[in-house]
Amino acid sequence: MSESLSRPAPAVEAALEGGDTSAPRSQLGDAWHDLRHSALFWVSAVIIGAVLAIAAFPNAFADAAKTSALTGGCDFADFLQSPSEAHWFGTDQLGCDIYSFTIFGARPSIAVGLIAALLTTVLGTVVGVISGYYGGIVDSLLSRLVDIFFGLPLLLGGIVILSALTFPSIWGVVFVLVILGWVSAARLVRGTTIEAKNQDFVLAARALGATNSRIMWRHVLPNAVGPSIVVAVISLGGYIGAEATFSYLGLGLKDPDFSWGTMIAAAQSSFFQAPWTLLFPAGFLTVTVLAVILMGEAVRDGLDPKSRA
Amino acid sequence: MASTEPSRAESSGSILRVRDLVKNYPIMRGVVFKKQVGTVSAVDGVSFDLAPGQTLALVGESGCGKSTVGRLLVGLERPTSGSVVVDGVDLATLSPKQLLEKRRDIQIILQDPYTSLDPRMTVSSIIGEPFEIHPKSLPQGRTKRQAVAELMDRVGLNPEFLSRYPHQFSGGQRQRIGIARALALRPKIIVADEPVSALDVSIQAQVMNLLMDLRDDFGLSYVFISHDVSVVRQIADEIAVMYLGRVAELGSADQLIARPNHPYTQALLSAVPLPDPIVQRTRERITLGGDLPSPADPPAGCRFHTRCFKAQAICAAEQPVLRPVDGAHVAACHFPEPMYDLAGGGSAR
Repeated sequence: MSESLSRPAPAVEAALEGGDTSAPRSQLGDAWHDLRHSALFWVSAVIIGAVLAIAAFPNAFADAAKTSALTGGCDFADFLQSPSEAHWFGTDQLGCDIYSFTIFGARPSIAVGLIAALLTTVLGTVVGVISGYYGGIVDSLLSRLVDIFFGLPLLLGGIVILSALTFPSIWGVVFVLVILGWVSAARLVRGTTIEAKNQDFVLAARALGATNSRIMWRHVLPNAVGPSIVVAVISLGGYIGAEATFSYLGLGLKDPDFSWGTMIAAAQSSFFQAPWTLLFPAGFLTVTVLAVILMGEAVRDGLDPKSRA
Repeated sequence: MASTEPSRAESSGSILRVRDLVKNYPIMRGVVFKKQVGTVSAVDGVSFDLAPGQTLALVGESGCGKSTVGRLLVGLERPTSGSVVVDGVDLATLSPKQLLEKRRDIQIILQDPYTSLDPRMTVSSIIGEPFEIHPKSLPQGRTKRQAVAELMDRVGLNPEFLSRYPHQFSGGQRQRIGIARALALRPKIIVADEPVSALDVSIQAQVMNLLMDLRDDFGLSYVFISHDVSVVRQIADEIAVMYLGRVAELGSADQLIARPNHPYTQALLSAVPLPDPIVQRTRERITLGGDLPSPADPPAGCRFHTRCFKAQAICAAEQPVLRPVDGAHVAACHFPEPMYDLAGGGSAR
């Protein structure tokens, strides 16, 4: 053996002290570089930022007291008033201020979407990585399980579950969306995992003696999870819409909880007399879902330049 | 010249001993009820020895089983039968924990520098990973970062690029990263699986020089897998020519290139381009007819007889064993006969 490795060369010392001066870029860094120049990204980012701010700090935008008849927020004398200076979005059949309800209705809508998107992605990714990595009998069993859940239609399955069981506040809708939604993430990640695990760098890690769990979580997962993050963002929009659907059907949030979905449901009897009762919550819902989906597409283009048309 | 040292290692002094290595892959049919319908015989009875500090090259065309041998050596695949003895220890007898420890002695450099590095990891994580798996291999008194920077410096990479990602490097630089990773555990043996065949010719020479420097500095032994005789002759002390999972001819690099005895070796060497254009134009090339037979259905007798220009009746009936043709130089042929000067004489480069 020679001494070559036991003497720190001057270049090594300098490098450890000085570090790399030119900016190294990760793949996320590259994605960001592309996204910065995307108008689509900025428009959706501004909308999503505004909606998130409303959901996080509704008190900064409206008065919580105005969202409950108990605290004097609604005045029957003011029912179905058109938008005015006192009531920017008008009032509903009970004389409640639609602006305040829309602002405070954002949080449950957004919360359901975010929690459901997070849980479906985590559950689907874990199942997909294990299924794709181990293959064989594990994969066969998990894939059949995924097939079973894939066969359940979201709306029908959701109606059945929510009619049969009762959950507190938003958790019923979250439960349904996670139970019926994780399979698409699992399928996607299973495919990308199989692709990643056959790459040479997995072979190299195995030759070093890396354990299965190390290979799975350090090498395969980071290379397999990209597409499922994009799908998570796009499905977030779908989940916000699904929450509104279930609430509209009377199966989502129950009084005294409310969301954009329950407001749309309440507006159906007064829509022709007072269209603003429907237009404002439905408008917020549509713009939010649209912004989220556009964001998902912008992120996909950024992460994978090949998918660009 | 490949080497001035004694070319043939004493069997007792070998750091790597391979005996009757066999690897069969089952061919399965059916979706639910899988049934074995055949076997692919990828490696069929390969034996060789490697002495410390020496380089043995495995040469052959695609599908001859040379890469499978490499993977069997580093324990990426389990042999169907036969033994791999690394520094006196048979890998098959080891517990998983002991095998993990033994991996420090034998490492691999993979062919494709574009797929063999994890694109999501920085160079320092890639070269540092061996130290995470084998903390004992970290040199005394060094942090992981220092050890990685020293390795980078040793393989000719600027240590300032510690936190860069693989895609920010060229092919040659990426292969140096792969070499640093294989070197990190200070192995005694490195299996180099076509380490330069994915690189530009101009870069190949630099990487080959690095590999030779490292061999001399660290006393490494190489199993050098390649399809390219002109690359192999730069580095190899011994050459084993493989055909369809078997060794056709094995001998010191000088002898084997100067006086090939097996018709397959002769055909292989006659395909090596010669530097002198006049000699290149006028020389006789041995062209083999037909395609490589399927390893799922290898020919009986000598596996080469279907393409051999010397084939007789006995070749289809009886498998030739490796027999000495000149001292330690052995060939598996019923009609061995030396041919001279096929690849521009015995002198390398």
